Amino acid sequence: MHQNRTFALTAAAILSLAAAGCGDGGDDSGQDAGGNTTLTFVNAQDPGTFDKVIAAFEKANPTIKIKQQAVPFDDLNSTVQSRLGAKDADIDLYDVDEPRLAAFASRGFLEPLDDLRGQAEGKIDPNALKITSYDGKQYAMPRWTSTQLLYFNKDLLAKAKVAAPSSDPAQPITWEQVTADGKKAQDAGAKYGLIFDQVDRYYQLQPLAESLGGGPGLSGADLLQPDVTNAGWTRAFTWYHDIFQSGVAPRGINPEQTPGLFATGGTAFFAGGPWNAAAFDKEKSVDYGVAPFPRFAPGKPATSTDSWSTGISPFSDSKDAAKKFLSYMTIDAAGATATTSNNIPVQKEAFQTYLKNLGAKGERYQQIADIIEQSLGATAVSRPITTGFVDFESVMNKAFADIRNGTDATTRLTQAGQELDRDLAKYRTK
Amino acid sequence: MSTVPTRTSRRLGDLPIALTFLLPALLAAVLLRLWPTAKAVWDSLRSTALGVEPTHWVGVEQYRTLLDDPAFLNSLKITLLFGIIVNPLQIAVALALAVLFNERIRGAGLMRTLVFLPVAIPQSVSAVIWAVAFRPDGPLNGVLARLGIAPQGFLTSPGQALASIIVVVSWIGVGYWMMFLIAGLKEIDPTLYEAASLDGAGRWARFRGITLPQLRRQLAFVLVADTISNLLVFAPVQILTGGGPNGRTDLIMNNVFERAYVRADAGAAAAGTVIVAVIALAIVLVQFRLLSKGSD
Repeated sequence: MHQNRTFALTAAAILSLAAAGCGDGGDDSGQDAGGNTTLTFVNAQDPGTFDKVIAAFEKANPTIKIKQQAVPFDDLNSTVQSRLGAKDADIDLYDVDEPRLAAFASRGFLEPLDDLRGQAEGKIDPNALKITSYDGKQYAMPRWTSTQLLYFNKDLLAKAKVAAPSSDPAQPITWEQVTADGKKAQDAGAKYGLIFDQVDRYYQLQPLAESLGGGPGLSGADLLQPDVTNAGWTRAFTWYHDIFQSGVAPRGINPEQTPGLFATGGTAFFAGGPWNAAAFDKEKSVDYGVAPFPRFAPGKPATSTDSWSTGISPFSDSKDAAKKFLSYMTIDAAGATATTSNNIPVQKEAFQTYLKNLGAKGERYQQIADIIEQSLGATAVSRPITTGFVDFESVMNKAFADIRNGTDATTRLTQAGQELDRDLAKYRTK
Repeated sequence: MSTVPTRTSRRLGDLPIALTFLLPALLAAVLLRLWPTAKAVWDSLRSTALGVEPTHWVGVEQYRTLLDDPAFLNSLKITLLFGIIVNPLQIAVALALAVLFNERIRGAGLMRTLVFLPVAIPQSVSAVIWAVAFRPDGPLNGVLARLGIAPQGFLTSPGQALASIIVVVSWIGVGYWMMFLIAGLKEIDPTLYEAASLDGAGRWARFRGITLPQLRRQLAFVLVADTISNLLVFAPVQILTGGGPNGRTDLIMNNVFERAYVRADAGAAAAGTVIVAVIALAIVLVQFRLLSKGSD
């Protein structure tokens, strides 16, 4: 009887412990007894992206180990925000989406890196250093950048007897011409005339308004005043509304589905990034050409840009080791090349190596390399650096989706302006 | 000294064991229910943490701002409209199907399984499948074109998006609630129907006089559970429309989710959660009150 009771008590206690979810991963950061340091690097990249650079770094620095924690892109910001909000010392380095840098820096989530900036001058593209600083301080080290271009289906254009757009980086075709040619291609059998890769995301659509002089959509000293109803914005998004209204572009498609529509050969034009080319190469059904990202006839060329940077947590126990790794990954030519993966590096030597390797893959890739070089140097427009960017982007992305689905552009942009006025107020008073 | 325990000590002796066995359930209730609720109320009365600085007390100001926000009011309105349509619709269809499949007709078992089948598919998966079906160039419009009907906008049309969401959640919901009602129907004493038939009661009279009153307990459960589950619909909205077009499908949980995880406005999201919980409690109380009226 007594034994039974003891057993029952023990069993119940074990159950309770299990239910309470005890157990901890243990100590991850700082130095261990042998003087080795383990750095935790939180990022949202595909597995394998950093394997090369980490292996090279660990070989040169045997006392430092890099441990990666990969989180899905959509969860990265909330994960970092909640963990750093609790002053979690387990994160040493983390990936910062460049337009979100101002919000993180202003909240005290990023260690200032002005010493690294000194080392980086002359080695990293100055635009990339500018976009990763806030309030005059360097808060993260830029790793990659990005750009956009226009893909076209050669067969569909030939069938419609439409001249292919020039691949000369300095001679972008106009959106008006793309619309007209897309329509002709549809008349000759193409399913769709034109598809944007990221149909309702600010990243890809900002250049439409910028091409017509509409600016980024925010104005004022801290970029916290909405400015999305000016003539440039209205004209650009009325055009955007019309391409869906007239059926040149398809409604009801997610960004995940758009490249597939071009890859399977039914679409005349596709506006996307250099990263799309690899997927199109795999499909035998599409013979494609490349051209610079279009502009509006009365406007100037403008292209999306920027990408990921890496920052250091102010709560890290191993900031010096973290800086060493960060410097190798972004400032050192060999390190930056090893970090390139499928992206465009901003380290100058690594960038030249990237262009050379790209061009060596054939004529079409040489054209892509030329377009990348020209657009990054001459037409790139960064997203606004402001503490209110996340709210701004989420309001605008919804507005783009509604405009694409048929809501009048002027009405919807006015509504977005009112929403922004409300949402950004909390940053203005701070 | 005697070793035989007294009555009180024996009773007390069982208490620690009972308590320890109850502990997992109590801990779970505290950790998973009471603590999050208390935390939501606490967070809703404090400012949103903008970084590492501590939050400060804002009190009911949070609620005032939220209830002043046209986007939040719109989402309350949409949720109300959705609830008014979807709940009676699902329960009526589930009841009709339950009564139909409870009859001794050929193939009833198979039909019952087919109606129940969508329940086995996770909500998110079925939303992805419906997204393809609803695409403007998708199979549904293909069928309509065959019938000579003009293509519809479905999820991209402000007028049809909410109705499309109702179709998706009902596709899953109807089969689920039907099973509870069929179980209830099986419990009704067949002699009641026989007696009523002998008294000359027709099909409709038997349904109203016997089926409905005998099914009251199951219907009460289905009504309450269905209303609450429809108040908390989230995955189909997030996957299919993201609340659009023009906020026409911005159900309350989607609105709260976006505040919390897209805009990182924890305070407003907590206040939204508290409002949802209060609405849910109010609905349950009213429904229980109505259903207990006229019962024995």
